[in-house]
Amino acid sequence: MNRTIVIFFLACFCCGCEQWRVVSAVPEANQVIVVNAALSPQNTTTSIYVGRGERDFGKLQSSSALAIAEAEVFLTTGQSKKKLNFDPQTKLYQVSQNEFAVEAGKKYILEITVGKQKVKAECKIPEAISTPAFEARQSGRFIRSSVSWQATQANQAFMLEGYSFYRNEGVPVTTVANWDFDAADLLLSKEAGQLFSQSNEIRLNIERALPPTIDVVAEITQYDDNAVKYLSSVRNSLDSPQMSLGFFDRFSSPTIRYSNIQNGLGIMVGYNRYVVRQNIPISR
Amino acid sequence: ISARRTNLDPVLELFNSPNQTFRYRFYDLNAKISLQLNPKNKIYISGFTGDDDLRIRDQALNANFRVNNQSQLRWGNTTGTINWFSILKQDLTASTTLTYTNYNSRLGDATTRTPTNGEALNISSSFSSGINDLTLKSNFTKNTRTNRQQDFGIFVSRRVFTPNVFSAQNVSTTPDTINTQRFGTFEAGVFYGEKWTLTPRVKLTYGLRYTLLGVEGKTYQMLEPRASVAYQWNENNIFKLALDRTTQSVNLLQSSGFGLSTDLYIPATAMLRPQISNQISLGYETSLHQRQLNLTVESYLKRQEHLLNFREGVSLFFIGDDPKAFDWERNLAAGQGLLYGFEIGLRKPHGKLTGWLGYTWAKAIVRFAELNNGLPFYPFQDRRHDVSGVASYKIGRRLQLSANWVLTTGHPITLPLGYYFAGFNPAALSPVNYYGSRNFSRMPTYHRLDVSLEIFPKRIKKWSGTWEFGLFNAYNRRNAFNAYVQIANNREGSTLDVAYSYLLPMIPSITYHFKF
Repeated sequence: MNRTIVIFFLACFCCGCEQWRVVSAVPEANQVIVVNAALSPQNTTTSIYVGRGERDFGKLQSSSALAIAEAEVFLTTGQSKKKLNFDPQTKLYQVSQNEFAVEAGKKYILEITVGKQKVKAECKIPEAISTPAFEARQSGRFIRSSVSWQATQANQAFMLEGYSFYRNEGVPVTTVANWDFDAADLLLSKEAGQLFSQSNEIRLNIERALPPTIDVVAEITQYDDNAVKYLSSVRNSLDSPQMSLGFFDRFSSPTIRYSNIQNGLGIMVGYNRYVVRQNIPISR
Repeated sequence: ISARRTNLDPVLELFNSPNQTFRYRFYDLNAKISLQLNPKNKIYISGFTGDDDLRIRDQALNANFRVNNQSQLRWGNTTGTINWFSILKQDLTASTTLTYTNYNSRLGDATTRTPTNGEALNISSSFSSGINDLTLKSNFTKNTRTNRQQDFGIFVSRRVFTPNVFSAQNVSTTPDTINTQRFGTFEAGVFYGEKWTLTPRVKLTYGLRYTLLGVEGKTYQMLEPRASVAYQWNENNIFKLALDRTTQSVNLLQSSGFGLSTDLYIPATAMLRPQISNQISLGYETSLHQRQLNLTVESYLKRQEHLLNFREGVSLFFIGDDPKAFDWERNLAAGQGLLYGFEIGLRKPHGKLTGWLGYTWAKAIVRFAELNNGLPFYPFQDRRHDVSGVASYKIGRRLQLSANWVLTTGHPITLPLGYYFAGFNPAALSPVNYYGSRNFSRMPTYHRLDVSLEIFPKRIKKWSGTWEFGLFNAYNRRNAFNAYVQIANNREGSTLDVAYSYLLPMIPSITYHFKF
């Protein structure tokens, strides 16, 4: 019986040590490879950031200072594979659209090797959205314009990143709304066919000579699933005031930022941007 | 009747630092009366009320601003019980109990941020949680034969939950916001259980409980079967096996931030289903050293469904102008849990030296689709090792020396382990905290020794008294109460440090118990 008890206690001790195996599975921040890539047909050059994390808060580094120059970076779509070169100026791995085209509807795989560490990620560029429609109405000195579009399927994400009025080609009357990046403005479709509509308004300065027409330009960006999850985690962390502005919210749950980088951190997304333009005649 | 009132402020004052001060006080009041109506009927009436109050005040300095923070944690409980015990027949007894419970907790937080150049900004928030419970239960016990005992009965329960949040900000453009939610639940059920000594070596225990839960117009049916068997191998060795399924209509939510724990009791609702647990346990009991020592070993495996946790980024003190943002029901994620472990207990019930030693190894893992990127993590309740020991030594007839020692490894918390850069535009990335994984870090191990010396003076007529000289936390261990993150500026730039708050240092006490 005594021997049984000794064996039992030894088994207990081994089980107790088991926790360290699980806990040690998380690497230190400076051992983690960080990758950020956003692929779009509208970008003339595809740029990818490859870097490391930093564990020492005492040394607040820039992203460039943590960039890795000696990585091997490959982008693949279908049968086409391209190695990206490191640009010492921007500290990014780059390839131009002419050399490696990013197209709507295609899936892209990113493979990166740094020494013995390998990371991988993939994304799909969203297909075109259904034709956006403009509606504009002038009432005295005010022009109210709205743009609307439909989601082709559920769980799509859009963001209206620009909505501007132009006197004529390239000369802005006023940029009433030029959306900064804010996850709170993310529009998520619950079902296929869901209609989105955003509007904007300008006040015309009648003291100045009015142009015969005004251009209204809206920039709509459609993101893939990874971007939706990432932006949702950004939005969650924005909900939490912890650590921001010196407020220590003792009661909030920290947010883990979403990542689709296998064996690493960061995010790889695909997006497609649409610029919609309409010419509105001005009545005097 | 008994009453206690504590004021630890003078003691805590000795251990407070210039940047952080603690205050803690509590009281409780107990009363009990029993009435023997006749040889077959007896009534017990008891009541309890208690209240705890903890206040933390701290400040943090930065190159750009100074932050002063005050937090208050207050919780109290009031209960009243009336029990009527009746012998209906020689082999049938009835026990009917009416219980009223009122639990309230309140958390308050006030922060003032004063920039070096600018106007101070005050933000104050408070949060309260309450449960009102009225339960009537009748329990009948019947001994049909010498080797069988049956327990059966009915119960009805009415609970009202009030998880409220209030937030205020002194910026004139932002109005004060308040969100008051009130949930009423109604539970009714029947239960039946039986203890059956099948053979002198085999004992069976089994039962079934059926409950109807009504909340927000929705009705849940909950069936809870249980069964266990105990087999006496020989005079010294007993083996046990038990299976049971439990459902829980009240959920305890605890935040897993790096700060204070927020205990919020919420009911199952039309949106949130009751929690279900299935457990299997194995046990073993034996006697050692000519029955001087009793050894018990028990292992268990439990699977939980419909667990609830706060969604990432959720703070009960959310500052904003959208009352819906305070809606806790929409700020929760549902998941599953797996718990397993074993407990060993060694007891010495006889002799001059008595006591017991217990060790528990436990592991809890949970998985929520919406948390931690869908990966499993350790919940707040996961404490890997728990050791506790109690020993009493009699020195003659009038003295007894006692010691109580506890050790618990720290619970998981989420602390930043570093930072990295992320974003969609590789040329303009933002720094993001690196946590490794949710609840990756652990609070420091908690351990404490309490010792006491009891003196039993001679009894004088009906008066008997006992003096007790105690020392709580005898070796003045600085056990961390909560962790928080400090941002401080130095020559090298901003640093992020994890700091801990400590509570309850070594506290001597003198107690005199008396009976007359």
